[in-house]
Amino acid sequence: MPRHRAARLTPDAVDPKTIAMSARSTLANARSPLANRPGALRFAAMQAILDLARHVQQEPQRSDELLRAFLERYSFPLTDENTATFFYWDRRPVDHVFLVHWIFGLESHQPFMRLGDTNAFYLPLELPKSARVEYKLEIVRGGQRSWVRDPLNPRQAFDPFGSNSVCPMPGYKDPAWIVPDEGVREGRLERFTLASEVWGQSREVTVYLPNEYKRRKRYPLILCHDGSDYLRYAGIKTVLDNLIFRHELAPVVVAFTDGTVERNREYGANPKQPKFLVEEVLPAVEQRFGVTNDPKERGLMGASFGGVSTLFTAWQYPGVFSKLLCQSGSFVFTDVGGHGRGPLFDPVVDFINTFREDPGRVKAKVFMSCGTFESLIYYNRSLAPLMRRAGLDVEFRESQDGHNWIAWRNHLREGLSSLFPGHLRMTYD
Amino acid sequence: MSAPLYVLGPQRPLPNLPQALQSLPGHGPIVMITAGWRHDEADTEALQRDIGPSAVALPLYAWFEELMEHHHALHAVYRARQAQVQTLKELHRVRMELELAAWRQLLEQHKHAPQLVDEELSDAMRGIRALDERFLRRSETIQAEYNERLRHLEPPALTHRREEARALLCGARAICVAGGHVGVLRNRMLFFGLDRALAEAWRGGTSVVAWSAGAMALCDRVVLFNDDTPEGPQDDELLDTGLGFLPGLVVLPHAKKRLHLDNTARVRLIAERFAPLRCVGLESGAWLSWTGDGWLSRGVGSGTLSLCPTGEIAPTGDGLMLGLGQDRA
Repeated sequence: MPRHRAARLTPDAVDPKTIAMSARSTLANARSPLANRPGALRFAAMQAILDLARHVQQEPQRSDELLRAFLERYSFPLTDENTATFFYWDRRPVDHVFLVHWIFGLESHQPFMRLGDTNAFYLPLELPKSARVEYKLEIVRGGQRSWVRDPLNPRQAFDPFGSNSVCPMPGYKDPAWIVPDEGVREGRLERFTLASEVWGQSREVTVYLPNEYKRRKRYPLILCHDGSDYLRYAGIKTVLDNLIFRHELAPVVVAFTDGTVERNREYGANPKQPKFLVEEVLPAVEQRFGVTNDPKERGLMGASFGGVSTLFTAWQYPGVFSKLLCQSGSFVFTDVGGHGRGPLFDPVVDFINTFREDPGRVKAKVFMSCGTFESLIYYNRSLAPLMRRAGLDVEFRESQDGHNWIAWRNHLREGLSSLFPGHLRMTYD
Repeated sequence: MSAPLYVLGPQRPLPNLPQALQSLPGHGPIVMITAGWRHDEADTEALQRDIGPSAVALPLYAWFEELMEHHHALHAVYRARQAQVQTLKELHRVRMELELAAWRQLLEQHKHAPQLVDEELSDAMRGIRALDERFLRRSETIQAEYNERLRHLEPPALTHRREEARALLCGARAICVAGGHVGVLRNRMLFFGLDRALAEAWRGGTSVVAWSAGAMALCDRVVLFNDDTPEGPQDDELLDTGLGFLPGLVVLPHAKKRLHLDNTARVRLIAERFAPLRCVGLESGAWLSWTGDGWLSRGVGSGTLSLCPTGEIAPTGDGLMLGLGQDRA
């Protein structure tokens, strides 16, 4: 379990044995053979800050110079096998600095510690070695609080609310298939407007057509919730291009739909959304594009409330879709009492409670993924075996990540290729 | 002097088909076999640009679909054979998984007691190879039974297509066999009797150029491989015999991308399992030319990789010969 180290750092607080070891264990020699030993890196990261604190205390008049040199020397957050050390320095006076993150199970507002009498702050945080954490810093100055991205960390992740700083732990690696493969043959996006009677307004639908697309052929079809966000924040077009190019994914057509500002009400087990997808989007796509009318080759996908709508649509229209990709589905349920998540979740909880009584009604292969830093992990972990017991073919994957678009992107390869496998082993171009 | 027989690497990103075709003797049509592209068999514009105006398609995939649509009895016989082969493959896979796991475990033990383990390891490999042989024998039996049923059934349309294919191949300057789905390509070529027709044409002076799945299908054995799948590395799979037209080779296109070549145990396993056939990785730009007693590498230096039973990758730069049967396990 990640925990917060609460001590204020001054040289006096350091164990003499620790100081004695510091000479041979700084971050600078973290790349030495010593660094290969478990624990050596963790010590080295902290030691760098301890050294800095000592130097600042010994030569306070040089503190700016020492801090500048420190910042130039390292990249931040400092990470080792299982600790990330966040750092903040401001030329102007600062009262407090907090780490704001969305790791369920860990205090979401973590106070930094001040380095001596400077305006520099730090916070070591124990994290799983393959974790990827999105965060912001809260700066408190003269009673004013502001959230900022970490100015010492250029890594960012974007979502509909803006962007966050990103701390990847050493065991986390961005997948290779998120950037266009050499020689990849790109698919294209086409857009059409659908006058929806269900919603009483027009809705845009963006359709991905694989590079090899021919109107006369019948391609498998996926309807995707939050399509614009999947395209913008999860880079799904590049992912589709690469996976199809590699033959890991069958050439598919994907229809990206979006909700409105009322998206959570629309996706939260609202019967209008399945009606919209099945009775309006599906026929419109079938009419305009070369897609299958075989339910076995039809899928639905979505994340968060989009995951709920995915499952709810399959529930409302059993037999229309045979493949479901649910990412961090907000599958909140109750065994007794209330759910405590506000009225938006009322219909969701009602649906999931009903679904749990008869999961076999959804005749589909299901791929589920969820981050271990989400509160939803417990609901997802619980649903997967329940669905399997009901005879559903369910794959469930976890990652040490949160409720965000990069985590969802990172499961697309496994999810899509397991639901719509290409002829990878058989094809040699 | 026999006609040229070339094996090329994948045609993307470095196409060398035009260069290979320029070196061919004679005149006449150049036949394209693109059944591995399945529904896209007829989308040969890019290939025709490489070949030029003499390109002629041999539409095996379309012929097959047409025949199956109109001859239900033929369809039923074919499907029955496919189902039998699939079951046999599944049985083979179940047993092979255990054999391969044992071999890998023994290899792990090898460093602790090499002298004792050596013999066990060799025996485990004999077991793997024996299992492959058994699979091929049983597959051959199924094929023989199928051929017999087909002989009684053979509709004139099939006989006509086979003869048409044979005539086209024998009258061609060259035959190009493209990549794609190796199982479909192999099956369609065998279905229309191209194993015999191809050999006859080549003996009669028609050059043969094959790449990627096209080359795999022409080998003695077709081996499926991929260490980088969404589910992780998977065991190599012996699909079946190929057309037996490329002496001594097991062709592994895109080996650098699809195989963990830096893992000596992995390289050793595939090379030893299929020896004395030589496992050859072909990257884009590779070009092997049959000399009568071996394969001469003519392509880009690092495009051809010879996988050795020692687990090493032998260099095969331009002008180097790949002899046959040198790496017998």
